[in-house]
Amino acid sequence: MPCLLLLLLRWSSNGVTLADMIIRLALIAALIAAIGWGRSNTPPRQEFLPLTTSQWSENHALWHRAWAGPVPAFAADMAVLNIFNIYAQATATPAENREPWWSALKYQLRLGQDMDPYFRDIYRLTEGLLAYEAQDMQEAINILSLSEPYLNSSDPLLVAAFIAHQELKNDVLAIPLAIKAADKPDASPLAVGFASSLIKGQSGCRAALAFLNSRLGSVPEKYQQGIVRRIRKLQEGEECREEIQGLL
Amino acid sequence: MNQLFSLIWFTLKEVAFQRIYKILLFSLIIIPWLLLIPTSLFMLDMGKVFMDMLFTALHAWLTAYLFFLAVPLLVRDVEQGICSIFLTLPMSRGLYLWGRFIGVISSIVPLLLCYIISAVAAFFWAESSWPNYVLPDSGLSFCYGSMLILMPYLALAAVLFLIAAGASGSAEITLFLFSVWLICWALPPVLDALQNIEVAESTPAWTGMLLYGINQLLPDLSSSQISLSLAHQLPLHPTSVFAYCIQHVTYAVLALIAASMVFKRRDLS
Repeated sequence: MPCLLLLLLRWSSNGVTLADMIIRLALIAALIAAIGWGRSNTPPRQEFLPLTTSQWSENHALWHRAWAGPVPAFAADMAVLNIFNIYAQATATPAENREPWWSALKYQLRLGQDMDPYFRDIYRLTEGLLAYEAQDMQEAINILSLSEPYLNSSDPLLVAAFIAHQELKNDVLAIPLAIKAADKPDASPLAVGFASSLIKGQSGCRAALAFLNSRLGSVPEKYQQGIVRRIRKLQEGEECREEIQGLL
Repeated sequence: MNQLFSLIWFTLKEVAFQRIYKILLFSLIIIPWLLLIPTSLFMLDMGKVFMDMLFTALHAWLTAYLFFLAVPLLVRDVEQGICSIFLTLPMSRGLYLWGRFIGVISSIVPLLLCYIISAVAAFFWAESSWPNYVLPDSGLSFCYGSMLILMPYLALAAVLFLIAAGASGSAEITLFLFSVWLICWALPPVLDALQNIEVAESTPAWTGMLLYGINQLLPDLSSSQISLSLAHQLPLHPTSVFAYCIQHVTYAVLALIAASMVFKRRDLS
């Protein structure tokens, strides 16, 4: 702005009277004041509603892919930045008016996952924001379970299983997710242990032991000790001993 | 052959001595370092995000190069009759087009080199600053990806020459090139999406056929799978990379042969 002012002054100083110059300066000052007034009175972003609150669909995916062209991963990055903004707007809004923001959050998470299914930040934000802030557990489980063909990490599936078990109290949904998490190449003892405890609760000790034994051969050697300890713990446990002896 | 090299060298100097070229060169050294700022906002895949941004910037400046440097060069040749100066040397019209094309493509090389060197240095810095979030050898993957992303732009540059060979002037060249660029940008991902059963069911069959036909005529600008795989350091099959390069190089050669044929019949008086 000062540069513009200097430029105008220099331009206006060629053969003009002092009165003309004062009038021009006053005009410039009035214009600058108008810009300042306009900026300070424009409503802040918090007062606007999110741009997209519609449901994600395959047709939306089609348009977004066309727009993203050869850089879909960049579109996923932009979705993550949008999620940060949406979350900031949502937390600045009274709790009863947050629903449109949570719809927008869901849409952006779907968009990010569709554009770059390998992107771990999307799954991390799904579990952190969609499940525990927006309280949309089912949608969070749906998005997290989409990671299965793309990521070697067991984390998203493990979290999906945990949410299904802990928050939805739905072990029918949780057990297949936990088994898939335990099947991942880098499945940790935590994933295997969680799956076995769910199976034990649902189908008993024998099923849990069978599951743990089946995992032994497929997990890396460094993780086998944890599973062996868990098998031993189950076998030595009072509840399991009774069940196994009862069956014998 | 000497005439061809002279024209290539002349084109290189003509492009490189423009102020916009120098500004672009300077910007490309700074851009990778500026892109580290938005990258730092992310949580886990920071190396991937940085590479996505670099690839997007690469697409942006290659497109800008074609529209703001290559198009005006050809427009001057056609509208101001600069091509007649070369053609009276004497030089054949075909040789003139090849010389100009190689010159235009060669002028990208210094820009690309500066961009890659600056980006690789930025990757070294990122790897040391965020060691757990940037995969090792990301700089190398970026170099590889940059070379591959350049390929469709060779084909697009050849299409520009084909358009310029027959177009009357600036407006026609810009409009047709923009249309081709837009179709090349958006069509391949749409065709990929049409493979989805749900989308295919809701789209009339003739639409798919029409889009597929258009896609066969134009260069495939989509390198989305390549950039996605390299950003996550997933392996690229050598055969598919070779096929991808062959596809674009042969398309460029074919478009330039067609451009020569059109240009030979053109009335330059």
